[in-house]
Amino acid sequence: MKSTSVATLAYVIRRLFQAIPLILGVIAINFTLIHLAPGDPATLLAGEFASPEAVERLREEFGLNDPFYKQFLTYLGKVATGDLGYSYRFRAPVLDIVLDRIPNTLLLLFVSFVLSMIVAVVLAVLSARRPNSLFDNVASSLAMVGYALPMFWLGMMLILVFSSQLGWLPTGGMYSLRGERTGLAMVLDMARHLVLPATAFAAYFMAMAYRLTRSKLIETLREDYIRTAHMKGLSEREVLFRHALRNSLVPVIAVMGLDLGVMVGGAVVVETVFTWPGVGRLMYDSILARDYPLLLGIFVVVSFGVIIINLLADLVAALVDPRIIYD
Amino acid sequence: MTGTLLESETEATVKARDLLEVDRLAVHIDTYRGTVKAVDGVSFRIGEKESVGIVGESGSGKSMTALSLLRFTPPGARFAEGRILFEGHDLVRLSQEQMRSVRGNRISMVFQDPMTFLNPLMKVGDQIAEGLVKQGVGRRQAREKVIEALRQVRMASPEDVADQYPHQLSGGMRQRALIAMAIIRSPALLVADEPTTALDVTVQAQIINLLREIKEEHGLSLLLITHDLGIVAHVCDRIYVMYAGRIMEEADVFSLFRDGKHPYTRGLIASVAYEDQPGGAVSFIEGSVPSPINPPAGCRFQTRCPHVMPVCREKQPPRTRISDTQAVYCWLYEEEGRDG
Amino acid sequence: MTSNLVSTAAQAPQSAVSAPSRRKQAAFRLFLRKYAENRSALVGVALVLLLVVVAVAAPLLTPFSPRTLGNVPLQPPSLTHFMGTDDLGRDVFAQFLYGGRASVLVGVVAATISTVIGVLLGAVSGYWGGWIDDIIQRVTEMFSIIPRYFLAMVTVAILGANLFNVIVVIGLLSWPAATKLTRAEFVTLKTRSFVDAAKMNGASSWSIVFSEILPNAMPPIIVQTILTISVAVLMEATLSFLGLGDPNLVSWGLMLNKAQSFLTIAPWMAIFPGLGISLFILGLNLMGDGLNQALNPRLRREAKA
Repeated sequence: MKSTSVATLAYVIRRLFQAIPLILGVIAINFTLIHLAPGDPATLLAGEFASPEAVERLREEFGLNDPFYKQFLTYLGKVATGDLGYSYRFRAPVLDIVLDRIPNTLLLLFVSFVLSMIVAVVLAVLSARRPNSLFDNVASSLAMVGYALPMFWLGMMLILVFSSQLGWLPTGGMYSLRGERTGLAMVLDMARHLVLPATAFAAYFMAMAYRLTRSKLIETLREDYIRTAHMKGLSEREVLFRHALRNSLVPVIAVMGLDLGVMVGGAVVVETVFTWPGVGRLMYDSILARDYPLLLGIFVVVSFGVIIINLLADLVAALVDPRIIYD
Repeated sequence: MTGTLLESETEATVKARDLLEVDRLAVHIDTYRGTVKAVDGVSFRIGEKESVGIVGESGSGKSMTALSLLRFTPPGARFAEGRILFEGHDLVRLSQEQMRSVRGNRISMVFQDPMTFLNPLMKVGDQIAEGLVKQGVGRRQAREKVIEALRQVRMASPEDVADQYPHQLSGGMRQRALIAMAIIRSPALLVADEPTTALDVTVQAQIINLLREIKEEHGLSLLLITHDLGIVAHVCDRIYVMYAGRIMEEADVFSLFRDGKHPYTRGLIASVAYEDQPGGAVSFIEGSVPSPINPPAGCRFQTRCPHVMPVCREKQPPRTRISDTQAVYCWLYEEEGRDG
Repeated sequence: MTSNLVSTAAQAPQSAVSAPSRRKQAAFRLFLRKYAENRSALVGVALVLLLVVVAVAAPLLTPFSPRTLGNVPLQPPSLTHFMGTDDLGRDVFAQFLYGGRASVLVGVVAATISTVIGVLLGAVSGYWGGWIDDIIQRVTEMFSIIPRYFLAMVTVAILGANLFNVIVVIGLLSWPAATKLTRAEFVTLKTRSFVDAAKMNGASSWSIVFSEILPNAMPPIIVQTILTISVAVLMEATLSFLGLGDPNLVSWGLMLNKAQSFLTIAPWMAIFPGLGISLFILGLNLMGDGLNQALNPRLRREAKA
C-alpha cells in the first residue's frame, strides 16, 4: 500500500520534470520567431505605427543590443514573471487580455468534449458489441465523414441550416444583445448560443473518440480476462462496463491527450465562424490586426494550457492503470 | 450409432452418482472454408469427487470440450449434437441467464495463462470477490472470504495480495489467485485447462499439488485438460485420451499406463520417454493430424496408425469394453468382444 | 508479407533475381486483390483520383478563368455557371477547379517534406538508439504536444503569408507521426536476420538503414504519407480560411473566407469549396485505411471479425 503511493508520487514528480523541457521549448520557439521575422524585432513588437521612442524603449527592455544568449535569458525572465508584452491595439498587457478570454474557450471546449465523449462511448459500445452489424457500419461511416469535415465549414453549414433557414438558433456571439444578464435566463441564453459552435467542435472530437474507443473495445473484448469475467457468471453488461470499457478508455484518454494540441487549433476557426469571444477569436483578430505581441502571447498561454491538460490526462490514465506508474 | 445409444444406458446403470455426463457432444465451427468439427461425438462422465483427465495433443479438441462445458465456445461455433448433463440439467439447452448462474457457482474454470487471465486494472481481491458480491454477499464478508480463499490456495500474506494489482504478482501467484477465484463459491466441478503450461517447471509442480489438495479439501470434482501425461498420472483417477475431436480410449490411470490399448495411447506413452530428445513426441508418432474440415471416414487416427486396416478407413470404430474401468475405440480390439 | 519478399530479393545473388521478383509480383497482385475487396478503400481512391484529375485538368473543364470579373454577381448555380458566381461575378466552378490545385499542391509537397524529416529522424532514432534516440523522442513529443495550428498561424503571420511559407510551415509541423512510426518499424526490423546478414557482409550502417531496413519499412510509411497529405490539406484550408494563405492563389479555404460574408444570400459560395475539402480529406483517409488493412493481415482480420 505504502509503496504504491510513494511510486505514484514519484511518477507525478517525474512527469512534472518532463514538462519543463516542453515549456522551455515553447519559449525558445517564440524567441526564435521574434528574431526570424523580417526587419527589426523591436518594430515587430511595437507595431507598424509605433513612435521611434516606443521602439527604442522596447529595444532597451528586451536587451536587443545584448548578445543572443543574454537576450534569451531576458526573454525567459519576462515570460517567467508573466510579462508577455503589451498589445498596442488593445492598450493592455497581453497576459491580461488572454486570461480574460480563456474561460469562454474552456467553456466551449469542455461542453464539446463532454458531449462528444458521452455520445462517442455509447455509440462505440453499441458498435463493438456487434462489429460489422448494420448499426456498426452506419456509425463507422458517419464517423469517417465527421472526421473529414473541416470544423469551419461544418460551422458555416450549421449556421446556414439552423440559423438562416430555420431560424432556431443564433448565428453567433455568446449573449443576445438585449437578453437578460442574470440568473437562469442568462444561462439559457448562453446555452442557445453554445449549441451550434459546440456541435461544430464536437463532431470531430466525437468521430475521433468513437473510432478510437470502438477499435480499442473490440480488441479488449478479445482479451483473456474477459473470459475470466464471464467465468464468474457476470452478465454481458457487467463484463462490458466493469472490465472492457474501463480498460479500453485508458489508451483512449492517452491518445486524446496527445492530440489535444491539434484539437485546440479548432477553437480558432470555430470561434471565428461563430464570433465566440474566446482565445481563438482573439487569435483571428490579432492576425487581422497584425498584433504580433498578442499572437506570440496567445501561443505561449495556449501551449502551457495544452501541456498542463496533457499532464492531467496522463495522471488520470496512471490512476486508472497502475501499470503505467511502474513502467 | 446404435452402439452409442446402448452405451449411455449401461453407463447410467453402472454409475448412478455421476456429477457430469457428456453424451455424444459435437461442437462444430462454421468457417468460410467449411465446417470444422472441433469436437465430434465425445462422451465422458465425471463422478462426484472424482478427478478426471482429458489428454491429447493441441488440436485434439480437448480445450474446446472443456470450454463447451461453460458454453464458452468461440463465435461461429455451435452445438451440433449431444447433451451435457450436469446436476439434472442439460447445459446445452439452458438459457443465457441460467447458464450464468452455473458459471463460477456450480462449475468454475482455471485457464492456461495466468498472465493474461486477470484484469490488469483491478485489484486481485476485488476480482476474486466479484462473483460473491454479485450473489449479494456484503463487502466486508466478501473480503473475509477472499482472504480465506487466498489462504486456502497457500498464498503467503493474503491480506497484502488482495490489495495488489496483477502485475505485482509472479506467474505462480497469479495462478493461485485464479484458483482462489474459481473455488470461492464452492463449485461442484472445477475445470482446469492446461493450468501449468505457461509456468516455470518448479512452479508447475506446486500448482499441480495445490489442485490435488484443493480437490480433496473441498470435495469437488476436477476435470483436468492437459497434453502432459505426467500431470494426469499424478492427479487423475481416470483418463480420456482424445485425438482429432474424438475420444480414443478411456481408462483408470493404472490400466492406461500399464496396459494402454489404443495405438495412439501407446504412442503417447512411449513418446514421454523421448520427450527430452529433440523432436521427441512429435517424431515418435509419424504422419500428420487429419484436417478437421472434412475429416476422413472411419477412424481419425488412420493416417498415423502403424496397425491401420482396411476397415479403419471405412467405419468409425465402436466403443469396445476391455474391463470395468477401461474401454477403447479401435477396430483392433473388436474381435475380443463388442461392448454391451 | 510483402516486406519479407522484398528482403529476400535484396539478398538474392544476381543469377536468382528472377524468381524472387516473380514472387514479388505475386505478392503485389495479392495486395491489389486484398485492397480491391475493400469497398470503402476503392471509394477513397476514386475520390482522390477524381479530385486530382479535375484539379490538374482545370483549364480544359471550364471556359472561365477563376479571376475574370463577371457582369452578374452572386448569381445562383445555373447551366452557364454550375456553381453560381461570387460577389465579384467570378465563376465559382472555375474557382473550385483551380482551388483544388492549391490543395493538391500544398498537400503533396508539405507531406513529402514531413515524410522526409520524419523518416530520417525515425530511422536514426530507431536504428542507433541511445542518447540520440532519447533526444529525438523528446523533440518529437514536444512537436506532437504543442498546439500545432496556433504555431502555424503565428509563424505564417510573422513570416508572411505566401505559398512557400505555407508549404514549409505545414511540412515542418506535420512530421511527428511519421517519426514515431518509422522509429517503431526500425526498432523491430533491425533485429531481423537479413540485417545481421548484411552486417556480416560488411555493409555500413547507413547502407543497412537505407537499402536493407527502409525498403521493408516502406508500406506503413506510404500509408502514413497519405494520411499526412490529408492533415496538410486541412491545415492549408484552415490557414487560407483565416486569411493566412497566399492571397494570389485561389484555394478552397480562401473561397470559404470570402463566402462567410455572403453565407445567407449566396450559400453556394460556401457549400462547394467545403465539399471539395471534405471529399478530398475523406478520400485520402479511406485510401489510407484501406491500404493499412490490405498491408496488415492482423488489422484485416480485426476489421472482419
